[in-house]
Amino acid sequence: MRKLVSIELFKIFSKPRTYIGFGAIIIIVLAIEFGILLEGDTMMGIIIQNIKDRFIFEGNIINLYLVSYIILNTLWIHVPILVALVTGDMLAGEANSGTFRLILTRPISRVQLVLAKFIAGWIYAVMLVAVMAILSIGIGLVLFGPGDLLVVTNKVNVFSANDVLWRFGGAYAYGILSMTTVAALSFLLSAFADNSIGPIIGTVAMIIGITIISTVGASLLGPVNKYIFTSYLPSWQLFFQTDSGLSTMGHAILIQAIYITGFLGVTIWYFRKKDILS
Amino acid sequence: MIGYSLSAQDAESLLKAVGQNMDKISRFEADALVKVDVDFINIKDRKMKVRFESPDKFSFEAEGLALLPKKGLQMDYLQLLKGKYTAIDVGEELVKNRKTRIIKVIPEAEDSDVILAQLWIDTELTRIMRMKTYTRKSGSYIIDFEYNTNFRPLPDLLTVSFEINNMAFPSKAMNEMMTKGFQKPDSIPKKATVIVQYSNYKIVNK
Repeated sequence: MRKLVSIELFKIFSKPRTYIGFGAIIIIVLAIEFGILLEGDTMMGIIIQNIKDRFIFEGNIINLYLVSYIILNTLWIHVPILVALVTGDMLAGEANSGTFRLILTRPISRVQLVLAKFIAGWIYAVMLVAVMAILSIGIGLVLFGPGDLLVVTNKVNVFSANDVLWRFGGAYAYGILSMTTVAALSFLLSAFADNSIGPIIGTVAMIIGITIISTVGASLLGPVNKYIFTSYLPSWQLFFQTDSGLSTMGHAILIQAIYITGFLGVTIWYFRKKDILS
Repeated sequence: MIGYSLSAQDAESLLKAVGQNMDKISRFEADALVKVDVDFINIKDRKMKVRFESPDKFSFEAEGLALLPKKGLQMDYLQLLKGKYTAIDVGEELVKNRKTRIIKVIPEAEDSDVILAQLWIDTELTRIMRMKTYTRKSGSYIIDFEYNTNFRPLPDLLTVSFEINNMAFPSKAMNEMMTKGFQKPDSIPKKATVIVQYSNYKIVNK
């Protein structure tokens, strides 16, 4: 299996489109970091405007942790697209290029092939998130330095600098789990298609579409929302709450795990019985 | 009329005495522990160094990020007492077992941020025990002063109380809307209290 995964990784990193993902991450991180360096004060003024007339902030608000937190918010828009760009092509791309017949004449089972491809795609997704984490923290350390983290949602939370790193560790780990769900979905769609455009766009469309429907129809879909995986994609935010955020983390992880298993299970089931016609 | 004029003069003399008491200080430095007690703000107590240089220069050096009340920490009453104002003596009250005179201060400057201030002044030690201020931009707030010694006009404990609205923050994360649906902002003002505990005063007099 290790050999199969290595081969699949080689295939992934032989394709130019793979580097679009890393290039995009680098550009996004640099753009956000330098944007905050230039306009961070204005941005923070808007964010804290509701309490600015009563309080003054003493200390370094704009620091590496705040910037890294802002970059983490791209996890639910940009990174899923970049993950689907590669994992959506993993099965559909082979079908399109007609190489399945050649591969499947080898003494490997279809299940082994699918699992090896999925693991390679997962490694790519992990690397994307890891590059984002290392870049945002590394560049943030050089440009801004450490400090306490200010998180403003419906409450104002200030986390001490020595209480932040484990939160980021948890958030990035959960981010990897979220992106694994995205990878599994695009991988599933890839099994049904002979062209990678459909699975890539289909994955992004499904995530955005389900998100919009569950947001706009929150009151109608309330009971169902807690079982939809898109509701939990941004649950890494729970690591930056002080009020029982982590108690719902278990539920979020379970839902994601169920969807990953389900998507992968259906992919394996379908691919096993699929007629290879190309 | 004469009684009122005499009373106004007494009030002004008392306020002048408070100002003069503070004017004796050239500079001071102290350690401070800041506790913020607001329903929607979660922040641990913060240690800070407070430095003052006459006539009105304050600087703060906090460990990490600190939230300080906009009014109250920088002896705003000093600014008030240095300007032109009308002082009205409105009576006496016991505050923390100290006999105080209540004096209303109305700044005469049209551009003054303070509309009205009410001070409870310890007549024996000539220092402020409580201050209630109404401002144009920052609303109203109450400052309670506690002193552990009779030998300095600087407080050991300062409690600043005011009200603040928890309005919906513009950066409300979209994911919150996704999981919980849009939530109407809470329009009822919340009580906010900031307690500053001073210690290790190093005072240099003029």
